Amino acid sequence: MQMPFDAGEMSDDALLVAYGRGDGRAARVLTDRLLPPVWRIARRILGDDAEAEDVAQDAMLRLWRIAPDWRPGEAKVMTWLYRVTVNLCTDRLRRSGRGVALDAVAEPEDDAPAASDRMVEADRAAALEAALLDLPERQRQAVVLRHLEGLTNPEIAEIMEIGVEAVESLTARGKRGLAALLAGRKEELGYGDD
Amino acid sequence: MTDDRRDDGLEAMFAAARSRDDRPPGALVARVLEDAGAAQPRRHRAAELLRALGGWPSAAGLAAASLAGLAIGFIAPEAVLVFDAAGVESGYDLTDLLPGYGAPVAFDG
Repeated sequence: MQMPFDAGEMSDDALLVAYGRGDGRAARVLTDRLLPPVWRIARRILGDDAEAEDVAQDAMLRLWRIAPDWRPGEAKVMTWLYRVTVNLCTDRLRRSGRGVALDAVAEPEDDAPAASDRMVEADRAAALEAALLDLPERQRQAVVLRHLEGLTNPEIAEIMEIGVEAVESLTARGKRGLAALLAGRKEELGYGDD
Repeated sequence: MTDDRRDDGLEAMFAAARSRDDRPPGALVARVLEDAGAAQPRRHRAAELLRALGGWPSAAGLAAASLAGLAIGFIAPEAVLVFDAAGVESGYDLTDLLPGYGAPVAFDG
């Protein structure tokens, strides 16, 4: 017997429970909603498309597997899923040795081209995402979640399993690090001209 | 504390990155949905069988014995009489699929 199903109205919680009870349409809606941010976060933290796809698929698989045991109202699906995603990324970075914390942020390049025209938005985005990969991994995670995914500090604290003050400290240091990394390309990117 | 102009510039960079509305590749979406199908709780595959047969009216119209044989073959035998930890809704009984299955009926074999 089919339940009335207005997918757009259903919460993540309700959809996950419906999926756990056998409703395949719930899986499609959850995938449409949650895979894009999970994939984006993994891409930005790892800087590698293939690895990001593996992490995203792995994170979603864990979601499908926990569905039968999911108790609505206890935790947010999104928080749980993002936490899994961030932890999977951390595992990968540590295994490959790319997540080692830097004591000092890398120096900006000496030969900054001085173009008179501003670069287009796409170039700014690319420059930012490249600079992110030079941040220590915990700062990178905090900055991605805060400034690219727009999550609140309490949400990020839950996802990263640290205190809110620690989140604020990571994002502040991350932003200072990015500013330093991008300083050498200031004119080229139209950065700081506004 | 922070340099406001530097912050404005950095904010513009963040905005540029946020505005990139990249979507996950179709192949990844397909793999995720495939995983969802494979991970779906087993007992509910009986519901898919019923939908494939056209629902209750069609199922009831088939000869009881042939449908029973098909159902038993499709659903793993252990699922028919499973009682899980919760104790309730623990699986599809054949009486769910075949109203009146338990009633005395002549079988053709």
